[in-house]
Amino acid sequence: MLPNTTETLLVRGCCRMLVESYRRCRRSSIAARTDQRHTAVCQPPSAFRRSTTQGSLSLDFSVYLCLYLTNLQQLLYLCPPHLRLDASTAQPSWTVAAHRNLAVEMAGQSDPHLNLFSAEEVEFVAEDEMVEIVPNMRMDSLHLICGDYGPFYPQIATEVPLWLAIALKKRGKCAIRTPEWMSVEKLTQILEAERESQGSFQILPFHYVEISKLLFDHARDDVLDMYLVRSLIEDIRDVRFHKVEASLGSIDTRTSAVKIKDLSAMEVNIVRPFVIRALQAIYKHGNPELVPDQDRMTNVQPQGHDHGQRRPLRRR
Amino acid sequence: MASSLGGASMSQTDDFEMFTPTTDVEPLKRAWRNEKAAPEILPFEGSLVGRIKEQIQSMEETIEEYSRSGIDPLIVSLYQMDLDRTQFLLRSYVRSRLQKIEKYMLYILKSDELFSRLSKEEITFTDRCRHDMKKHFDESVLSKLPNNYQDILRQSITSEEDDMVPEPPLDTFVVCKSKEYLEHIQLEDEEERASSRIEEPFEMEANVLHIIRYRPIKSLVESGKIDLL
Repeated sequence: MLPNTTETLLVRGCCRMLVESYRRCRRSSIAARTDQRHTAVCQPPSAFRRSTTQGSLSLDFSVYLCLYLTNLQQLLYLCPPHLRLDASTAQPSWTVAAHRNLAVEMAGQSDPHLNLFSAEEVEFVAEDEMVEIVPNMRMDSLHLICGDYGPFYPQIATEVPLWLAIALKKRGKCAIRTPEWMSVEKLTQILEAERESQGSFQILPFHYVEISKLLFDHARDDVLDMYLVRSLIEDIRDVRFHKVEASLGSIDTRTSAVKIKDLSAMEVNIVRPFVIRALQAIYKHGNPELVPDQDRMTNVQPQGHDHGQRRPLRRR
Repeated sequence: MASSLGGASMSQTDDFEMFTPTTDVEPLKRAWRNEKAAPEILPFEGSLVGRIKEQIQSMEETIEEYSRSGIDPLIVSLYQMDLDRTQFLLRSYVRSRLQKIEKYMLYILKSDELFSRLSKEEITFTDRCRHDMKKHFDESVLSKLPNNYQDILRQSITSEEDDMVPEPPLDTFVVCKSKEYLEHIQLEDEEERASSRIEEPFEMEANVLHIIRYRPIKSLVESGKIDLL
């Protein structure tokens, strides 16, 4: 059954509000990233902190909070931990670590079911993706619980999971071959195609955000044209996010399932709380029995009070 | 009614997964993801956990032996990393189950189906947890309330059914992916369909992500046709 007009409008308004507040959050995080030094991230608005200490949140507020947190989560994931986030206020306590603690603290107040996986857990999964390495030493096969790898010979390329590659790289035992899609040429193509096609996403590895980040962090010297590649990937992410936002607007009261083709793991993880909350709200409004019956509740209580007040009057 | 957030064909990593040798880590990762994403408790992967435990133990022995016999510390540290990763997966899996049990234990104890999904250790945990919680509530609050309001399951003695048992939110939405092409998924519940909007059966292509209500795909998750993430 379709909800009646008032409710439809309500849901529409709710969706629009969600999209709006989501955009606001995105803008602040994009602004932060375009700053070369990665330093200027907004502090959480003071209202957030107040509200969390009081422990009460209105719906739109908690939605906004939830979005702020997911953006924060994404931002924190991309920032090296030693960087100060907000240079302008010069508050020594507002380091990434402090933000992270605040995020954890505040996340405890929002619905934990919506934030299923942390950015670190998504990265953990990405570390099992295979990459090609060129070892510079001789080592026998490794018989690990997650599979057998090697044997390793100098200058002979072999495939290993990313975590193993990074561990070897850290000790200077190998060079990591950048995956094919991480070349300037490929990424430029993808970026162009991404800009041209409005309705769909280009095919990128499911964990492209995490893989590229890990390689930038641990294997800078193996990535050709690292700065260019990095900024291309950031541009691609922004274009894709813009598309995600645009398509979120198409969620309406008749939406009971959303198909998301070729969205990557990190992107899914970031929009998940937002989309799920919106869909839940729509589902609830489409099923009146799930919404607590406000009429009955409010009717019953005043009546009780009325009786209570009238009786003594009558007795007099 | 599905609204689409994209087009084009299946992603490259999925091709990849087919070629990687099968180990117990992949199924464990799958179980971990499903367990974390599903609103209710899923059947315990007893034999899988047993095998993983054995492998962890033998790996611990190997590492000890290697470090005693003076093998290259690099190799030892790689084995140790592999061990740590597997242990993390296993612990996180068990822990997310325990969290669900703590949250919904009264409901699980009432439902035979859910109760049968627990492992032996989890049953002990549930019993003890319930006992402790009841004792705590009795001592701190319930014993001081009027007689009619002392039940842990019911708001008052006049309630017709247990109305204070938290239930898992099966109508929540989950992100999922099917391994094969699935058709005729009924998104609507029985009564809803009879009363309301005409909905064509929903189809799912393989390896395309969907955000969907958990209840209609519950049985498909349990039978392993759909993965949550």
